[in-house]
Amino acid sequence: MDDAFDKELKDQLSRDPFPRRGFDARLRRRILERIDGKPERSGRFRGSSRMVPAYALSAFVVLLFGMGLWVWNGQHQGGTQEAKIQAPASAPLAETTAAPALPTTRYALLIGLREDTGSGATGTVSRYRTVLIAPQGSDPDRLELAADVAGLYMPYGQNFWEIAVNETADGRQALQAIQATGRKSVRADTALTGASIPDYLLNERVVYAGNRYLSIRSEVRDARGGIADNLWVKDIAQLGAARNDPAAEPHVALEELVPNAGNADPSGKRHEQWGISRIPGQWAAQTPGGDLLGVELPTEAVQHDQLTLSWEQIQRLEPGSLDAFTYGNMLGVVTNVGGIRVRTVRDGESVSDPVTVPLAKGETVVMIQWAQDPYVDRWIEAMRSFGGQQP
Amino acid sequence: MNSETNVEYLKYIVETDDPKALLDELMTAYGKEVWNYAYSITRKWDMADDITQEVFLKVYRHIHSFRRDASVKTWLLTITRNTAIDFRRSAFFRKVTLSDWMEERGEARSVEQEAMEKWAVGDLWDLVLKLPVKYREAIILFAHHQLSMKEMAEVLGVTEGTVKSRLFHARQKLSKMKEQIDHG
Repeated sequence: MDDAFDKELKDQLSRDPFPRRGFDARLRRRILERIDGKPERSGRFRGSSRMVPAYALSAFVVLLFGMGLWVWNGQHQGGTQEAKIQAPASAPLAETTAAPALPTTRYALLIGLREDTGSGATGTVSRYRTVLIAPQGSDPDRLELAADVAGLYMPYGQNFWEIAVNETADGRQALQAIQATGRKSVRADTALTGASIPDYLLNERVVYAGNRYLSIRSEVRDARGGIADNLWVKDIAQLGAARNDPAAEPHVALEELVPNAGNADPSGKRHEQWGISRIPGQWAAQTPGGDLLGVELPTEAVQHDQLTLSWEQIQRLEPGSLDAFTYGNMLGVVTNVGGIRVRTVRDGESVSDPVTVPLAKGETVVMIQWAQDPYVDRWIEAMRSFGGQQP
Repeated sequence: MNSETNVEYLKYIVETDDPKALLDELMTAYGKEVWNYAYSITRKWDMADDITQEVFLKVYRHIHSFRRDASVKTWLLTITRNTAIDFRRSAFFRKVTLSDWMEERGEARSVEQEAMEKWAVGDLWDLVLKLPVKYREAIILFAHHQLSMKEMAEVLGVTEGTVKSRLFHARQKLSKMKEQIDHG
């Protein structure tokens, strides 16, 4: 990207977007008539005139405090999933998704869960499962638990990939991406060979999976025989790559996704080790030590990550929610009792019975993916086939 | 298009006694900018009309509260953005523009949307209007309204670093879209 492109942009976009209409005499007259107290001629957006007092108030606030207090700033806030949501205003609202979906459009929610089952001889041992909550039949508001399958299945491209745990006889775990659907799909039991795991690697576990990226925490044996804790973000293609040097671990540096991320670091060093983890209402970039990096993750890394309901609405629908995710007409929450609850919502009101996905102690969300028609049935079919069910 | 030169202009007009005359002056100077920004956020002509109307009604009611050290254009674009967000949040908007929700995600485009964008005057405008809103806004504030990074950060309510990041991704996406067109 160069200055020539910026010049082209400014040259072409300095013109108005349309050759006609826009702000014209007709609109100017309409505004002046409103000021003179005449009723609006156009009836289509009468709602806007009913909202004038609220706008006047918000304008007054803008004028009173200047323009720097706009709260829709997308900045990541601190906190963990364990901490109950205390500050509703800090949760970003979707920029473009405040409106509900078309009533006939069906959506499905795919959730990846990781359970750390304790510390084995070689460190943490993790198990995964993937659950799909989808409409039952053609009614978008009648949800069911369509699949609950062992293993982590991640949609990528037009296919599903299993993020499989490759385990050695002595209990060490490494992750490997295996295409689970499509022409090039293979069976995990034939693709996994514990022999390919380097000796220094003790375990790897998924912290985040989405789009083409995974955030992975690993423990490795260092040169002095100690154990080092690493946190990487990897492209799915880097998973399971041959490796023999912990210092040359394939990864995606933060600056490759967020070019200006290093600006805040006086040392100017790139963030080679970093991760994506869940905080209430969104995914956030963090350091290996768990500090939030305060950068905005691009849609290439994290999609559909903005709530379409306010925290007040979410807490009213699901008191005690610790985390929430929304898309289309669906709201999923992680509650402090009973696990994950998913329901459909229209105009801020619940319109379905919730589907509950109980969580085991220590089980955490590592993936949230959404589908909508026409992909919903394809996802149901694929997930049920992974679980050995009839589609 | 240097927005800073506009400050003197408003300093002059707020000293007059007739707010309606001031409004008329402001509409002459900034009406198109407000409408274009409202359109770039909503991509709906009728909605851009309504937002523009509300922006100037707000300005009319509070014109003497304007901070004289601020840029008029930045002030108006911030109000435009806030008003557009209010419209999007309103139940009324949700009832009348259900299809936009889908379109914003790039997964479906309304017939109206397709028809409107055929009127866009240039290839780049056409491509920019297809960007996701956060990138679209950034590139339009940068290239059409020609705001500085600081002004864009003020309007968008984010840091200058975030503005740069959004511009980077917007340029990348535009470049890819152009390449796709160039290569058929």
